[in-house]
Amino acid sequence: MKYAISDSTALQIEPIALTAEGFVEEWIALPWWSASDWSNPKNGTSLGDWHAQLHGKDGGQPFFGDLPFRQTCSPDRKLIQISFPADYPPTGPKSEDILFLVREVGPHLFRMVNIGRSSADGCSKPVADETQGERLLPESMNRAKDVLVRSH
Amino acid sequence: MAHAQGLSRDLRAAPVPSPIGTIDPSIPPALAGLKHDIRNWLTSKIATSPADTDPASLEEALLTEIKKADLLADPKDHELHPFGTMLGLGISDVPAEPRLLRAVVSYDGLCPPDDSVLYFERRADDAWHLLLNFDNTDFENPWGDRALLYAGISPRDDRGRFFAFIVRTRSYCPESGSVWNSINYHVLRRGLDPESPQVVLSAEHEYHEEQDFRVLLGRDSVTMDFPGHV
Repeated sequence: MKYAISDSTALQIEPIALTAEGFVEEWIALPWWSASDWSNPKNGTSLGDWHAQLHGKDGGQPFFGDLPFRQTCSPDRKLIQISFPADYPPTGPKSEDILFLVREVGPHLFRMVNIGRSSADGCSKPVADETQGERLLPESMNRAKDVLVRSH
Repeated sequence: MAHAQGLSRDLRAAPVPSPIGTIDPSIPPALAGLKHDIRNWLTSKIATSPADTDPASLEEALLTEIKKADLLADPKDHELHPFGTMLGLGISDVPAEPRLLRAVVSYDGLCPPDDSVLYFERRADDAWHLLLNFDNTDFENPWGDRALLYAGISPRDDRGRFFAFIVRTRSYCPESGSVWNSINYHVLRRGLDPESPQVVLSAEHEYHEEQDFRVLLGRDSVTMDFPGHV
């Protein structure tokens, strides 16, 4: 998560997330005025409607399960379909699941292309994504223990 | 300090709400008054410290006085968290900024800590001045994101200006075992009044792992990296 800071304003800038799965989660969590910046303008109305349904619903629940599934839907593997199957144990997307079509436009740069309940054409077999993924900053920048307050 | 002691006594005498109850409306203004008094006292004490003051020694001296004034929480009462006392104090240098000092004042409460951040600046009159103060003011519920997770100062830009970046996370709350936290974070620049810094950004996010919060402050950017993006 990165912000550009000017004199009196702060603007969230890319990367929004490091993975397509993370991007979907961030896209939902962002307000629409910001999420729309990372959305395919051709599908703006539809994506805006989906965003209104999903945003602010505690991480998308009850729409989602915890484990994301990934499919690639183009020969260059840059068009990625993400789902969060709600069944347990998750075995892959079902017909009632929401499918997020995301395009990777560069390293750590994503755009929401489409959302729906029908799969895009030519997608690979769904694979569970259980990886932690790479991190934006190294461990040396972990500041969680910097604040020291003594009482005695 | 006498006024602070009076406020502290009143607050300690107030009934402690249950974690799912509501906070008595008299508590937030009294707590704001206590913080105001402590801030003024700290500012006067730190003002005359030498330029090369040792943060640890200064902190020790201040804590001794706070304890003497009976404003420090009694460690024997570790299961009771009434409002009105302090849990501790942290004074530290600011990396790459020898003319700045950071103070963190930790207040007790039903769901402690409730942390205040103060930055002091060494000016041409050879005294430390309060540059910026940032208190938590959220008392809508007994629980809340009031514990300081990070407080840093950015590198200076071409005009010699910097911003403060302050991150709070969920305070400990009795009877709560959730590992999910949220954070709120704030980009602040100095304001006309140190008690009213210019708020450039205030936002919040989910956060999952207390031991991993990575941050990089640039001259004109903030980058955060933490597990549990939702």
